[in-house]
Amino acid sequence: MNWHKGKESRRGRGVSGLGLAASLFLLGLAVAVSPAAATSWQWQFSLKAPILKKDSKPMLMPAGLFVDPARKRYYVADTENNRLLSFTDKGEFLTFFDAGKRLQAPYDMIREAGGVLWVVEKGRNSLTRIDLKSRKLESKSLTWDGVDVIPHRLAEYGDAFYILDKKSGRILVYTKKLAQKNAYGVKGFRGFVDFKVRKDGIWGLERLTGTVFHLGHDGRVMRTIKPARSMSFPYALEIGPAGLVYLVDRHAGTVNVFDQSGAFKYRFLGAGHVRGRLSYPEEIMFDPWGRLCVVDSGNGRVEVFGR
Amino acid sequence: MRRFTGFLVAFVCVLLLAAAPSGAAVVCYKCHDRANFSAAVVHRPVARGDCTVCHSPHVARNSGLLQQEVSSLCLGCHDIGKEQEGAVVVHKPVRAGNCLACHDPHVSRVRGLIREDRPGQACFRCHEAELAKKYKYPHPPYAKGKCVACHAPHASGQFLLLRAGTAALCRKCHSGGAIKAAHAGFPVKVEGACLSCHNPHGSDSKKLIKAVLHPPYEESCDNCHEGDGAVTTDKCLECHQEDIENDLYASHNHLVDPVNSCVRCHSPHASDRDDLLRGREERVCRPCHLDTFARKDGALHPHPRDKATCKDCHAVHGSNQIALLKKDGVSVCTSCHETQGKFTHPVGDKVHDPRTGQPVTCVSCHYPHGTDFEFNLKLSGAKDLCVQCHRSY
Repeated sequence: MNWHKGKESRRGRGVSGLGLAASLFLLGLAVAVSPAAATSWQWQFSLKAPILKKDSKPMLMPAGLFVDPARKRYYVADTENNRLLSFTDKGEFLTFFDAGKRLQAPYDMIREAGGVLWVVEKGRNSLTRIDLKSRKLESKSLTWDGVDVIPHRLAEYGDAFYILDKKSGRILVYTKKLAQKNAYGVKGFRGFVDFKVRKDGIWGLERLTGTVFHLGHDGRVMRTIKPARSMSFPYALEIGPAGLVYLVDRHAGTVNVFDQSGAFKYRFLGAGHVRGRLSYPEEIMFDPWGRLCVVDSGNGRVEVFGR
Repeated sequence: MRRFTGFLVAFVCVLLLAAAPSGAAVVCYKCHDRANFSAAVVHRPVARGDCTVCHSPHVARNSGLLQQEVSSLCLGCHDIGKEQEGAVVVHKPVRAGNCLACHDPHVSRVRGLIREDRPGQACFRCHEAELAKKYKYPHPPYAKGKCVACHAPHASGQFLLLRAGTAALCRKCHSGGAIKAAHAGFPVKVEGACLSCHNPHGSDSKKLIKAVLHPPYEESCDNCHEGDGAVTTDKCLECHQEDIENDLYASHNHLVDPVNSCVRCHSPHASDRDDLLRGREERVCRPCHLDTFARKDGALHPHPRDKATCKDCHAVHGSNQIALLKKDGVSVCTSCHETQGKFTHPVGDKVHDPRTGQPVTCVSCHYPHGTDFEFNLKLSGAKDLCVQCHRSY
């Protein structure tokens, strides 16, 4: 809406200077006290499966999001429908892919430059390699020191895969040929529930406690962030461009923002089903265009927010 | 001499006046039998005959002609705030402000104005169903009804309202040396893990060992323990993989501990339940799901109200449904609410929620652990909830 055009604008010319000042003050006050002002995050669009035909299915419990900056694509793991969905960077639905109905509960994924998908399939307990060109699908069961791994989250960094093992709560690093490389954990911790890999190291969110560990690439604990404000069920983590820590509270449906000393900055969103409300959020990430994306699992969508 | 007699008379008068109830009580006792207000322990205002501290003699908004609601009235003098600082668990009557569930406001035979004729009776009045009345080998404090020896009656930083962690609590009576001697040759330190094998109330087995033994434990510690290292989830899966494989490979599983997820809920040694759970489900689930229990406890309309357990709705090892539900958000509800399964707002895969495009289920409108709205609705059913979808109304 352009506020400088139309009748309202012309009528406004008659307002006295004092009235205008008072109005501006009140407007400023209203903006200052509203939660949106504290956060300045605005809903941009939702990634949702369109219901075009009678047999079209909405997304059911989507769990993972991958963004390909080169192709300007969002990819969503539509877990309970056993398929992957792709969207443009504007949020327009492109297509879905189910590997000939062979996918079983895809939970997280990445897409390599050469057109190879790596998918965590919960139903198979595997890391599955899908070559889109040759239409070849290979499910690989992972082990670590001879013990079965239960892959949960997946990230690619450098020439390695970083995989969160749900059983041990550790982040396991494999080469692209799935050879065992390195493992990250913290002595006596409760296991990670989410993680992010960055140039400055690995950021892991501890189960239930909300404690964030910043580990160096050599595995040393460089910083332990204990959030100053308690949360119901911290479940997902993102590190913002300015170094702020974004934690998703799965039960409260909120995004809680802390600085690296653990001081609470602000909180936004909440539990529910209408736009801007979350139900069992599963993952949070910044896309390459500075937008904050939250995988809103219970509402079957990915909510994308911009400033 | 006359002067002395005068002093003596005055002194006796003062004593008599002090011992006699005040004017207020004298008037009250004209109708209320004074015998009901004398016992070994008397509430201080009653002893002073100061009935009007709590009661209004003419009219009141509260039953019993109380000046305020019970909790406000009691807390006006008795500050239990400190007991609740940092508490993980607050006893249900305290939470509900129902002081009179345990305390008599006038007189009692027991210190603390506890409502009981025999020790422990106040506790058993509510906890009778979950506690066995008699054991062949009862734990002495339990047998004597000394519940408060181990449990804090108002609030505690420990689960089960324990006065301290098990290691410290048990050590109050059982010395470290005695514990060590009793467990000589055990593969790991047993301190703090007493409840893994022993029932602190009693047992029909000697040494208070719980009734159901895990077969490998019964046979030999070496079946699971190798040296003094931790026994991992994988060790449990060596025998139980097939039992829970489908749950483990569901989209959401309940693997929650980096060392051993199984023993977070199950005792690897002994239990009083066939499923070897460490206790009642509420006790097992609460420590990790404090917020869920807090929401239920704080709800005006909690659900479920009866003795339903977590497992009635949740698949506790793993599930392909949201919130580890056993079935979808309709089937899990209609397994109890049969009528609603046949006659309800349209639900199911073919009915899409306009807010999300998701299939409409019971959980679209109801919050299953309870809310402040009737019928556990998420918002007021008068309007607010319905207009989220039915905007033209």
